[in-house]
Amino acid sequence: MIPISHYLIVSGILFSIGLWGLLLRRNILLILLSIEIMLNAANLNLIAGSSLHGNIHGQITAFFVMVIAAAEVSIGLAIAVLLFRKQESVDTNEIKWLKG
Amino acid sequence: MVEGINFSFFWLTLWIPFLIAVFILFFLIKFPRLASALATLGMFISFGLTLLALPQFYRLHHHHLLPLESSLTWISLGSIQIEFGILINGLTILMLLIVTGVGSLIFLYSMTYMEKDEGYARYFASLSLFAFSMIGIVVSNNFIQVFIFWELVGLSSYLLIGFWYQKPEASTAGKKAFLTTRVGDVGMMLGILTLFGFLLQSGLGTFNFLQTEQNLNDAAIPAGWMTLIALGIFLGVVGKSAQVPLHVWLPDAMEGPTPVSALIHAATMVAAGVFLLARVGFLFMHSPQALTIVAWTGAVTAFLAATVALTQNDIKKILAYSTLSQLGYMVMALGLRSSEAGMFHLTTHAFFKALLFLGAGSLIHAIHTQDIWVMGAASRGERTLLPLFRKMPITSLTFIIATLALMGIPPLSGYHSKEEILTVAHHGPTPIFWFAMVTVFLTAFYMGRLVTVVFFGSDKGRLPPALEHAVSHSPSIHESGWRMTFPLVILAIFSVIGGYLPIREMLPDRSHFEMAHGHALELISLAFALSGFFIAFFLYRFFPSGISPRFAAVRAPLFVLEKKYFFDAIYDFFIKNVQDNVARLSDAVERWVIVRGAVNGTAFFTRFLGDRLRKLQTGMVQFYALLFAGGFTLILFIWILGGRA
Amino acid sequence: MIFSLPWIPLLGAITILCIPKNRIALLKSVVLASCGLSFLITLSYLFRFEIGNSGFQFVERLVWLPALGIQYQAGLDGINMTLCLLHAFVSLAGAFVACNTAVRTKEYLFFYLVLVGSIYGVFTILDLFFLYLYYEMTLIPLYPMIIIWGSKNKEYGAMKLTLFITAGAVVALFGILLFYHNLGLETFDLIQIREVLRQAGGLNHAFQKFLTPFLLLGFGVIASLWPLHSWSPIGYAAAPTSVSMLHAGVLKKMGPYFVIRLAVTFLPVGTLYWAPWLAGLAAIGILYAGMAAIWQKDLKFMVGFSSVSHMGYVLLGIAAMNPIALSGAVFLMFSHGIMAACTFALIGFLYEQTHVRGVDDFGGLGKKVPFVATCFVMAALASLGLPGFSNFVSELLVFIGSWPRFPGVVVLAVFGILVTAIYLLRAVQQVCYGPVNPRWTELQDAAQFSQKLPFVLLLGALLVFGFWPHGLLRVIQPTVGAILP
Repeated sequence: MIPISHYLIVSGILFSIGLWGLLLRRNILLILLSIEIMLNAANLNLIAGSSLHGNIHGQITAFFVMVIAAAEVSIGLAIAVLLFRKQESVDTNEIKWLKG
Repeated sequence: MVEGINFSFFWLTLWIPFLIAVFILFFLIKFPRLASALATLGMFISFGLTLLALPQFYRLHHHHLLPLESSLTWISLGSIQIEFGILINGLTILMLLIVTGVGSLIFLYSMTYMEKDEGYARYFASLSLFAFSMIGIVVSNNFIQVFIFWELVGLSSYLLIGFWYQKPEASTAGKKAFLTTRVGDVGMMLGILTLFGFLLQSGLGTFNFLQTEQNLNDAAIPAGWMTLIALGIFLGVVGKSAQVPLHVWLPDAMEGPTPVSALIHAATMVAAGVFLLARVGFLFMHSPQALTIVAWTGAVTAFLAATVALTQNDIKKILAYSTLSQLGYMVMALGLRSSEAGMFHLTTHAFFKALLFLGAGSLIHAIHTQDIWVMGAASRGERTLLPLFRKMPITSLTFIIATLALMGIPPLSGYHSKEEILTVAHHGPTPIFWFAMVTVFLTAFYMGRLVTVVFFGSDKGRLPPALEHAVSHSPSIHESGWRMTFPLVILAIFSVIGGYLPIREMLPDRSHFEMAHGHALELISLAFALSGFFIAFFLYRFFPSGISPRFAAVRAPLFVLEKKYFFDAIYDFFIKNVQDNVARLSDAVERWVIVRGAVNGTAFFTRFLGDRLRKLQTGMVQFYALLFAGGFTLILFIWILGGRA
Repeated sequence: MIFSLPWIPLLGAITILCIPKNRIALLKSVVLASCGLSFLITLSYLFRFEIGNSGFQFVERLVWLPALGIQYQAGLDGINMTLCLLHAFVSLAGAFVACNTAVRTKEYLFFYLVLVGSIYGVFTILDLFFLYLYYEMTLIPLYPMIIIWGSKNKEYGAMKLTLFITAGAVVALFGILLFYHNLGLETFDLIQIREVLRQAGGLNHAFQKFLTPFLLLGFGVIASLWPLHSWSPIGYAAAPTSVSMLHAGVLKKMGPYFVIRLAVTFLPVGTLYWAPWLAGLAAIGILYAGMAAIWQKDLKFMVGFSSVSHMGYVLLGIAAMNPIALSGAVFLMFSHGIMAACTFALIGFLYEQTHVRGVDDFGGLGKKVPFVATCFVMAALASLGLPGFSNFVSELLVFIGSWPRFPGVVVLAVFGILVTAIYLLRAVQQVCYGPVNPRWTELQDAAQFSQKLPFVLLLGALLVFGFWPHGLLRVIQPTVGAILP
């Protein structure tokens, strides 16, 4: 039996990698990938919790997260495509129209 | 058993003029002749009703069953009852007779006088409104009701002074009258409030005159406050009866049509102050200090106004100052605790002063000028003796009768009432008595001047070219119609016999104290009056261009008189320099401190802060994400720390 | 039935949205019909009002969110009956004026009806939650109405008015929430709160003293309590005529209404504690705004300051905390509202034709437009407290009632009446009297029935209740007597 702390450590490492990518990468596709990694880190936690407590609540939530992640990726990619069409680049440094 | 008085007579007397005013305003503005006839008829009906109530009144009076009152509750709020009612005693009846009697004559007179005016219907609506308000004051049985009608006569006076509102002088004079009397009304309101406050404190809160009179002793109001209350109410009187220092509006009020001056600004409304003093005399009886001030105000007004009248050239202005002076007499008499003498003089004065004004109106109507010199000169071209007497015999004769009555020549009405006032003054403080005596002389002098210049003008005098021009354009002069001469004759009759009417017997005998009529006093005052008249007669008959060019010594005092003791100048100065500056200051505070400083300052500060905080919004999503992650970590960190602790 | 008061105008507004914008006549008739219908319903309530009953009558209730204690509950007592009547008069008169809007009529009338409906809502609702909701709802149409149809510095005026009132509302909301939580009843039902408080003998005194300033200041802003009044002259000057009428006439009265409904009723000890401050500020407001009005060159500014000054009397009457003064204050809210609406309608009538409204721009209108000039003089006389108009009675009651508690303030306030007379008579003289100004030879008098009706309606109301004040006082007095401790 692998202790719960191992799962948590792995998920923590995954989450950190995702956050690191989210903050430092400038390519919007890679940022989306990083977000996916963070979501999966969370999923890992949920499933580990599920097996620890012996119920399926965590697994159900994980499925929800996956569905939402899929939706989010599809919208995110669509935005990325539109962005690319508009300014021929997917570099976030050049996306500053939201500035007040 | 004597049956009570029929109050419906009085309710009708009160409301008929009001209903007529409203009816004219709504339906008859386009039918001026009908409006004037209706208004005049209404006034005569009111007079008739008062006359009808007279026998009942005498019966009750005889049995000492007065005063009687009848009232409706107008406002009832917890501990406060404000009534709307009618109080009947001799004072009410006397004043009602004057108001409706003189009033109906003046309505009749106005029908001709105002005939060609385009505001004919509006004039009669306003005049009826005035009659309503004035009757309202007279019949009021409580302080609030008096105050209400007090304000309403102010309104009708405002409307009628400014009747020719397209003339800037007229509208300014109306405004001035309203505001000046309102200064007095503020005092009156405060007086009433204080009085009521004290009465309420002692559990006897009422506005009713009779109840107040009964409760006044129980309320135990401190003497100082009692004086303040009395003076507050007296301030209202000072405003309405145009006593010094709030007299400035009355001479200006002569901008109104002449019948209005006769009715409102000579016979009735300005006398309302005197009437009110008589009505609430019981308040003043509790405060000797206030009475002293009242007496002095009256004496000073009588004297100052008479001196100013010496130098005026406008016939209506002379009469206005004369009115001021006579009102001063009445107020003085009341200040000396003789409401009887005051009311007596009020009555006779109403007759002869209304007559003087109507006579002046008749002259103005015929000659189209108000300047006494032009009037006198207007008929000078024809070399007959006393030309005006020939052309306008009734006007001239009645005018002379009224003049003699005003001067106090026996046996005319003015003689009796003035003699009574002088007797009262004789029993009062010596300086006041001499003020009164000198005023007798001055009165005779300015009236002598007026009459001499207008009726007995010498043809040796020279007129300035400007006046020559006016004279040569004056139309042929004649009397104007029975509706104008009839009131003159009636008023002249009353000016003659007024002294013998049973007026004093009607008044409540509260302040009645018999005084010895010294013959010496009569002779002295008569001597004063006659000398004043004849000095003026000779001066103006033989030096028609006036005395000031000849006697350098009188120039300085004459200048002061011509400037009317600088009252207007001082008030103008005050308005320009104090009131306007306070107003400007308030406006500046609003503009600069509140709006520019506080409000826009806040707005500026907010904008400034927003401008700084805006810098955080870089527009880079990842920067936001960094802040979010950092912030979340921080919160987590604190939470864990807190959880440990 | 009482629910219908706000909902008739609101449904009217929705109807207007469904009508094509070129059907002007139809649009106007919808507006007039819905305002007229509400007017008649209000009158019917007045006639059916049970005299002597100090509680709420005609109460209707709809459970809305029981978990939070929120219900849609409406009813009338003497105070809001009076204010509904005021609103009925002003909104009907204003509807006639609003129908004269020339540009973007449909949108204007829509906003107008929303405003009218939400004001009815404020004055009928007896639930704190919906009270606040309707109150905020009145602000929504105001902003576009001033910005789009206003005049003279309108962006600034609209911004300032909206910000001030919103800020006041926020302060007041804070107070209301504190009150709600401290009460611990979990209900917004005003009737129930009042009942519970009465049995419990009121809230903790220290808490009352702490809470009251929030309500007084927050609602004082709407009542243009000095020195928070500066939105009012500017806002009125900027607003279109019918908005000025509704705002000066009715909306402004919400401030004192809330103060009476919440502070005086629920926090009597706190209000009593702060009353001297309120009375002092009221006195300053009366004189200061009066003096400032003397110096104004623009008629609307003058009337704006005048309304600040008059609200001082209302606040003074509330501060006195006794039945007579408070009845006077409520009556004065009615009288002043009608008078202010009438004055703004008159100025608007002139402005529409001349596009000026300086005090010295006119002259001789008495000759040129006798009907309007007569109304102008009458409105001025009402404003300066002439007997015969209900303003006199109400001010008199405020004076009599406040005298025992604040004699000094009453002295100042009575002088305020003199100041009022100064600026109003000056304005009357310059506008109506004197020779006819040759610039305005084309000026038309109000000739049609629909032009005259608003003025007749408003001045008529003042005169009726001026001669017969008991007609309203008997409605107001029992309620006021029951509110006060």
